[in-house]
Amino acid sequence: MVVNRVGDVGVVVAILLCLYHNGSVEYSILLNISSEDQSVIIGFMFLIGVAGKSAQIGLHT
Amino acid sequence: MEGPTPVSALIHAATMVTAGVFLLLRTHPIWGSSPLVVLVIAILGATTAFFGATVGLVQNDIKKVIAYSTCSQLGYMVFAIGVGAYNLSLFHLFNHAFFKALLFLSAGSVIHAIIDEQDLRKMGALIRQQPTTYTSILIGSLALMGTPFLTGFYSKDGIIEIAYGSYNIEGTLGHWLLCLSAGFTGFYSLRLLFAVFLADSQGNRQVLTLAHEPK
Repeated sequence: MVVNRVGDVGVVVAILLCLYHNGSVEYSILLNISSEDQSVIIGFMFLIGVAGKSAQIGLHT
Repeated sequence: MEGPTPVSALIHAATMVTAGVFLLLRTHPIWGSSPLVVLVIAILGATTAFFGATVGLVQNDIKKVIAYSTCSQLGYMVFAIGVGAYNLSLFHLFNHAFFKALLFLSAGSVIHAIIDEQDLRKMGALIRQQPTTYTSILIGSLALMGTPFLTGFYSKDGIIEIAYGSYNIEGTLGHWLLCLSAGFTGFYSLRLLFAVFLADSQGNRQVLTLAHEPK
């Protein structure tokens, strides 16, 4: 149960970061992210969500 | 993530646990420009594939063996994303959904036939009573092991081939770990098949003689 919540927090933070930096969660806008460190942090937040949902190592039960 | 067997067939095979892989596929234009994220994804996927396969080797619960094999296959999919083979990852997700649903539903047939017993050590010799279930598990296991001309062969071999051909550290690491995991997959699939259907009967005699195919 705890790992699911950790993964959920990752996805929510990633979506909020997209919204904060680009003002939108439209795909057509997000496809043009050019900042390197912005894509790194958003990518890692999505990766935490993926690890929580798909039982990758570290967040498996 | 335990549940009744038809629920397991739905959530472990196709819909729930692969949602993470699909999220990663859909968001790849966002993080794809960063080599660090790609490297971490590839290493995470390869280690998960290996970890899931090694844990699956030592489980004695029929559903846990299949569930850890799902974990291993999810590692294959995430690794394929990490080496840039997005189409192969989705292809493996699609193929895996079919043969893993078949395996879970057949496991449900076995568990129901011997009155809710899930322990592999208390099964055996069910091929007499359940020939159709045996055939289903055999086909699902062969597809999972990557036998040529069955579904698992095309996607799993493609992922390992991409890993071998990528000529960087995560590709080489992934190639070795995924080859070892594929061997372990063959071992625990055949172990499940032998323990349930072919080995000498180990369980309660009255229960095993009354076992039958679902009607």
